[in-house]
Amino acid sequence: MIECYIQEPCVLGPFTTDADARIADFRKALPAGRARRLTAMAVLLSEVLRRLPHEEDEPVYFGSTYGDTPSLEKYLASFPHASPMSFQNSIHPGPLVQAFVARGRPVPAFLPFAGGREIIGSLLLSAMTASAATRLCIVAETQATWMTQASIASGATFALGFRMTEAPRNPRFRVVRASGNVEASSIARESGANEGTEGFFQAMAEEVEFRVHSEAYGDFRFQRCCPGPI
Amino acid sequence: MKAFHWSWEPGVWLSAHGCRTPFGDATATRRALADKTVALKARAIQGSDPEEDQIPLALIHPMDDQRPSGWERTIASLPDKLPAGEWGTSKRPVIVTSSNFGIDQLLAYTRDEDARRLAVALPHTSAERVAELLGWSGPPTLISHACVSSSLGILQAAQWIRSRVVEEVLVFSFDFVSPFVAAGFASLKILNRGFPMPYSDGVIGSIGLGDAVGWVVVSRTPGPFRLIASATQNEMHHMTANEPAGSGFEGVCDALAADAAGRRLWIKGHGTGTLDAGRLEANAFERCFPGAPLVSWKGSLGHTLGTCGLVETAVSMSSVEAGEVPGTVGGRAPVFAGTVALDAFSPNAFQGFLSFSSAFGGAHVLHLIEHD
Repeated sequence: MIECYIQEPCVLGPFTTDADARIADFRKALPAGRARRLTAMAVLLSEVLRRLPHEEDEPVYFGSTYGDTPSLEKYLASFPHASPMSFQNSIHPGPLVQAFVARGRPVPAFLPFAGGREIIGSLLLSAMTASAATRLCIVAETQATWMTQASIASGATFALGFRMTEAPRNPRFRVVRASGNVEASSIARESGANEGTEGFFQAMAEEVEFRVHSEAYGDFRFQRCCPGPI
Repeated sequence: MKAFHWSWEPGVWLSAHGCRTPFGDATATRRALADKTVALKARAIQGSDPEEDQIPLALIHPMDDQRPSGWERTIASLPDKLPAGEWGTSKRPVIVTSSNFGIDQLLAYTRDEDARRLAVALPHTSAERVAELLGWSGPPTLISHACVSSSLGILQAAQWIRSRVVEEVLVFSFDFVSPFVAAGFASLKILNRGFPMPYSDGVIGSIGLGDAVGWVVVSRTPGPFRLIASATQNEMHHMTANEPAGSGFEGVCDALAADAAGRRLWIKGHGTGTLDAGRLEANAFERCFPGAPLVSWKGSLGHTLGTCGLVETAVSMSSVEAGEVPGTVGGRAPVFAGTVALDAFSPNAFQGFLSFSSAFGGAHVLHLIEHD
């Protein structure tokens, strides 16, 4: 059994019809020089980093099923005259790299995960076994246009950031991972089951007790802690 | 900011390994590289002027819009080449890495709107197709960080082994050149008609792109290849360019200096053929590991993108087993550092090698692997 603690998460969204307006608000909060060329998803992730600054030497674990799909749509639309900007932005961890480049500080350890229903299990197991006192975990998706209609991009725009610690430091959750046979991957709560990044985001946003079942990576129980120092 | 140091004590080993390149398996690839054979050929990018816009590509299959795509056809031929066993379970998970996954099918979809292409167009759906072709019982973990993807896959597998949460891990990586990625690199002005000459002090830098598949098993069972330590750094100076002083290169070298002390090492470098990065890389290695011969094989295989770290590590392991390490293919004097090895050499005088990869964002991953 392995365990860790999660501090108060940073929850942005989910945004659907209001996504553009909220991104515009977040963009205004960034220094003008930094914000100008950032994609919408990079602005969202910059806001996560503004509220939850990366600590020196802290490994960063990023999870996104679809990545920056609006940039991907722009890049595809640019053919046959491929756009270099949209190409570099469309690379899987591109939006978070943009956000870190805008902040201008190196990140010693950065592990970007993709994946469908198993993405949260693999990200949690990786972050929980890291040799570090704290880890910064970020999960995000952004809605696109025709890719969303074709069910190959997210239907909502959201981001979640949280700091995982080995020792309890103002924890909101204690996370316990047990291995063994569990049912099919899902994120189970009293209200039902979801899966993937969106289900995990919703469960964390509600701050209820829940668990992430992963066939391959174990059973992660999120137990709510009282706010304030222990 | 210092690079991150990952220690693999009390013991992580790299056991079964292999790859598929335009030359064939790891043995055939090593032989071809030792003979200085160049797999890259000048080819036109789809949609461009075939006379004017030829670039060096090393392809296993023609770059076309066929369905199933070239990567599916290549991977379908591999099941009996991979290490046997039930992969994809909680004790024996699989990590799949790529920078492109099935992105070729997404671009093709925008041309012909054949909805069947979308079934393998996303990272997880293409990986599920790979799992189906190779008979894995569960879905893999996916890591995608451009051209350090597979090097991070090895690192994450080692972390799980060290933490004793799994028995062994199969790290599998695939990347295939498509018009999507070739046009992207061309738009960044780092692809041109020239062939790559890694670490050579020329006037114009050039890179090539290549198809490849690679795999390695990471375990706690002792064998001839032991992973001693790793270092990572992400400069975050620019989306695609390195920090001009080379802080990321220096950082990962410094982080492993203590682990390397007392060991005679050779270095499998990244060496794409670009001038600035090649100079920074060669100088950092020469300063930190004086006398360690430095080689790159991207002058033959091209840059195999997210899979390069794993494929080139597999070729390195095959080279140690064969008793001959190919020199830097395509490189020629003058070179950026006196340690650049242009000719093949014996690994027998060495106790290990460093395997290095770099990527967009100034990402760097350096592994120290000890060999018998």
